[in-house]
Amino acid sequence: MGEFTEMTAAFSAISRFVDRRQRFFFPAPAVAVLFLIIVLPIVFNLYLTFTKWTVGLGQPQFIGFDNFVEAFGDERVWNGVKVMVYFSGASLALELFLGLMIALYFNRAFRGSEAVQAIYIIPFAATPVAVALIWRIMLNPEIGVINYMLTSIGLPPGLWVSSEHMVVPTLVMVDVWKWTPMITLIVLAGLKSLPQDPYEAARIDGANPLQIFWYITLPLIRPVLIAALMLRSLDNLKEFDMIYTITQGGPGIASETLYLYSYNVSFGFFKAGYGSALMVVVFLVVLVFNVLMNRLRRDASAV
Amino acid sequence: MANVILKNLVKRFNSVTAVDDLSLEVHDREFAVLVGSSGCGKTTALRMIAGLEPITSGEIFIGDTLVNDMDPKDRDIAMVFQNYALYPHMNVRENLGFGLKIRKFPKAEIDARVQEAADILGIHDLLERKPKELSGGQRQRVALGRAIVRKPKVFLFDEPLSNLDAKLRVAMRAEISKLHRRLGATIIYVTHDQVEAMTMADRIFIMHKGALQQTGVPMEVYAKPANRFVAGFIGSPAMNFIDATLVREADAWYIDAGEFKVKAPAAFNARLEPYAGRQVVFGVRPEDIAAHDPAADARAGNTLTARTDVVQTLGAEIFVYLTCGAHSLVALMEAPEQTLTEGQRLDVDLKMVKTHVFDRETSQTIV
Amino acid sequence: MRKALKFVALAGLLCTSLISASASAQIDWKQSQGTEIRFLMNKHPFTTYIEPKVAEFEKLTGIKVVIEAFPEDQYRNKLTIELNSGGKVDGYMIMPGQDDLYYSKAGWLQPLDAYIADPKLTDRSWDPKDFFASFAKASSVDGKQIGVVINAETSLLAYRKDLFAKFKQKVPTTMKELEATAKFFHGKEVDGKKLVGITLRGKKAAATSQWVDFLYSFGGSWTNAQGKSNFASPEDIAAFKFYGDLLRNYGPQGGTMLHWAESTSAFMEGKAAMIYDANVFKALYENPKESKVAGLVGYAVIPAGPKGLRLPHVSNWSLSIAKASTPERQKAAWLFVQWATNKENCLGALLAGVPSGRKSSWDSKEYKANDKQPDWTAATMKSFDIGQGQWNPPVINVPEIRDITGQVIVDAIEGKDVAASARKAAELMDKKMER
Repeated sequence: MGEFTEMTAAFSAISRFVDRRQRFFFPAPAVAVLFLIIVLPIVFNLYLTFTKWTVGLGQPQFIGFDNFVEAFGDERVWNGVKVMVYFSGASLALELFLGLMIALYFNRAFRGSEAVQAIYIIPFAATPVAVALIWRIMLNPEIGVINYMLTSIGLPPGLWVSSEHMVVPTLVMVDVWKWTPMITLIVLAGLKSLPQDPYEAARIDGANPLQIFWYITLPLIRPVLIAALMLRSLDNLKEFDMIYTITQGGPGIASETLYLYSYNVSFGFFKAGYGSALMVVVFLVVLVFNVLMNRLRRDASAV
Repeated sequence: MANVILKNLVKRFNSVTAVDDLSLEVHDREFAVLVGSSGCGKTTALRMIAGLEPITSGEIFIGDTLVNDMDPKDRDIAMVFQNYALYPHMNVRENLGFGLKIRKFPKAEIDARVQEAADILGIHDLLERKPKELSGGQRQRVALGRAIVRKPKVFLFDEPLSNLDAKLRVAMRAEISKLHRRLGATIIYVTHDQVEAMTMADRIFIMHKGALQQTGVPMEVYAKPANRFVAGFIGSPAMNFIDATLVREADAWYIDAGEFKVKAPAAFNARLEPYAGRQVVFGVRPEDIAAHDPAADARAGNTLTARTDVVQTLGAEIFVYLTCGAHSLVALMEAPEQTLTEGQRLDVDLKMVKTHVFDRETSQTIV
Repeated sequence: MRKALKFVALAGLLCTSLISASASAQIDWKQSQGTEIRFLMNKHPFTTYIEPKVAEFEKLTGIKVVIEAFPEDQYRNKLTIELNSGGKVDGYMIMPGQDDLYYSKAGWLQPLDAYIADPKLTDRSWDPKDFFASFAKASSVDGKQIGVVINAETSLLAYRKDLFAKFKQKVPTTMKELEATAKFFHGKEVDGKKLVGITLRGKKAAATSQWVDFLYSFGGSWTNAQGKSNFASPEDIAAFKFYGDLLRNYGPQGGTMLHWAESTSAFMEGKAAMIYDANVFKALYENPKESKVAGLVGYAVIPAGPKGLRLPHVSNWSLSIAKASTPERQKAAWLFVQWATNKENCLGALLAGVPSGRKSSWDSKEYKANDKQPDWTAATMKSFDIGQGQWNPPVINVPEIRDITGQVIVDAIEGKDVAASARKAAELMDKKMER
């Protein structure tokens, strides 16, 4: 009997201890898993950044900032930055513009608009690699359906991704086709949540539809636009599936973004150290872009 | 000239008729109040005047111009909304100046007008703030200011005070009245609050179920309601209505409510004649019920005996809820010297000349 | 009677000597009984062929064999990671032309010469001389054999026999003739479709494996005598330029994006008069379900370069033994490799469609009886004989140098200044080359 009370006492002491520190105990497994699958790889990656290491050949050698120095003088890094800016700049701008326009269109209810919207979001819902493969086949200048259709209506065929000048615009087109619906959905949700009375006030104040869009809708929707841009840019600046599947960065290196190059270095050339350093550069670009965007967004939403 | 004329105005939303054959004229520089309970069509009518709501049929004239197909911006009106409808992303100065900027006013002119409006409304300190940094009352002032700077022919107010607290509402009422005098503009003001209507209006337009019930200066609609609805709507607390029968005894008309019988003043006789023996509704305002005056002429036949249910003291006056058999009455009377207790017997006199009699079938006023 | 006795004795003696003779030729297959070995394999047709037969080997030797097979892309990653982390791998499939220097430098390859030379470990019937010398060489590093070929490939010129006959064209035997023939066919309309003269791989790094045959045949090389990049040499530049011009002028649109899949499908669609690619794609061309040109294709060895050189490359998959394994398990692994590459299995694999590295397989009546494209077999044999095992740059970081090379090919296809591009690539290669 006494032993039993003692045990219960001990047990309740433990349980009290745990109870008072629930905030440590409950998240512990999640924290451990996060540490293993997120923190450790990042730390290891950062370490590799300062090493020269070809996978399989010996141990990583510490070389300080040499990888970054090499990157600075590497033509393909600059090419990658150029392609990234070109691709991301063009696709993000177009996606934002078209997404906004189409959202404005969908925002006015019309017959069958729900069905149209459902069809419209298919590209965005489809698996990226599968979609990219289909585009790759369609864009083939010899056997692709796009050139077939163009020539059958009397237009000249294009080289599409087989031309070093057209490859990036073509990839932008595919990206816009796939991701504009996502921007549209976000912006549409934003439009639907806008207050309606400023619109009536503006009509009475004398604004025409264009002025209402410019002075009312655009400023009000700006935080949503920036949020959509941020969300999209996270993926877009690291666009991989689509470019890798369609061109692998070709022709030559005409569509090789910095991210694709860093992948090639790490997993094609097995140069893990240099590859990691390039990944870090990509990460920094994405980070800086998003910090800037976030600042813009905070300014915009301070209404 | 900026009178506003509505001719046979109709608005239907699918099968629902919101405004039913509304015809009225608001005079130049008049403060007109459209009043009615919610859903009576007053806001819809106002929005049609503004041009925010298409018209099903009928005509609207502003200053002799038919504006049916005109855009809101071309009607030379300004509107103050219930929810203020300020532009959330602009500061107060930009909110005030927006309408002028859109109309391509020179910058100096905009600044001058904004200053002037800010002077009138006392919102100088707020000019650089965003709407979300303002209190409800401040937002309301900005909304007013936005209407003022435009110097329109007609101001439209859509329940502008209903989101303010009671105290602020009273203050703003006075302020808007003052503003009206100062601007000398035509104002059409929509509200569900008959107190606002009574206190501010030059003329009141009472609406019910999409139709205009009565038009008149405040005291007129109070004293001579056109029908039972108006009688019940105007005045606070509301008029008491009691089902009764008209009976003729000797040479006087009596209103027989079963539990009590009161004698109609001789002045009513001519009007009551056609309703002999008919079912009517007897209406008496709470303020026309007073404690029985023992000194009064007992032959007046205006005294009835009731029982007090609830007594509420306001100070100088009291509300007394009375039951007289199956009938309930509210009385607003001077506080008597001897405190009334609940459940006691109380004799009260009715000011018979101020009472009303309504046709029970048509609800129209008989007297 | 005595005569009869004598005959019996003689016969008996003969029998015993025969038995003992065969006993002395036969190694002791049971010598590693009870050992367990693990092989990582690419999911290659050879693996498909050999897996069901492993039980026979286990019965013969008492060795337990665990085979784990993965699709090629995944396989390379898996293998690299396992070898790098010292996993328990005793043997694996390797593509020596791609990975031999890298794996050898990493210390993952066990030389096989000692096993082959040891009569106790290697049965005489295994007959190393039966393998084409080009493949034995291809599976060697610094003269030491590190693998045994299980899949032998080369590249061939395939052409449309029907069109060549119709337009009375001869199969080109020199590069000059190749260009002229391509030019002849380019733009010809056949059945309402415009032909291209020839289709080739043009997609950067992927193009190097066929381009290298042109490099060698033009007398060029990856590196010069000093071990520096040879790209800026006239021969190398000529090879780059010829290949690029051929594809740009007489090939399909978008040459720089042609991988083998795009190139072969153009040929199989009947859009090209010729194709230069791997000989094993015969299986694609001749498959009537996939190909519109089945039965219409002829095969030839690469045309000769300006100095008469015909130097196609050979490539192969080999079975290798892991250096990190224990001697006991390595011995067992060798027994398995030896058994899997014996004459019987090589022939069986060839009949199952896996090209063999053994001459005897191709010479067998079983193969010849079913050979529907003897010109392909003849061209393949010729190519195996003259083939070069080194089809990749002789460096450790093959993918990186291939990538650099591919850029020159792309520039050549796009008609840019090939000499300038080659010089730039040579500089870059010298900087990046790891040996």
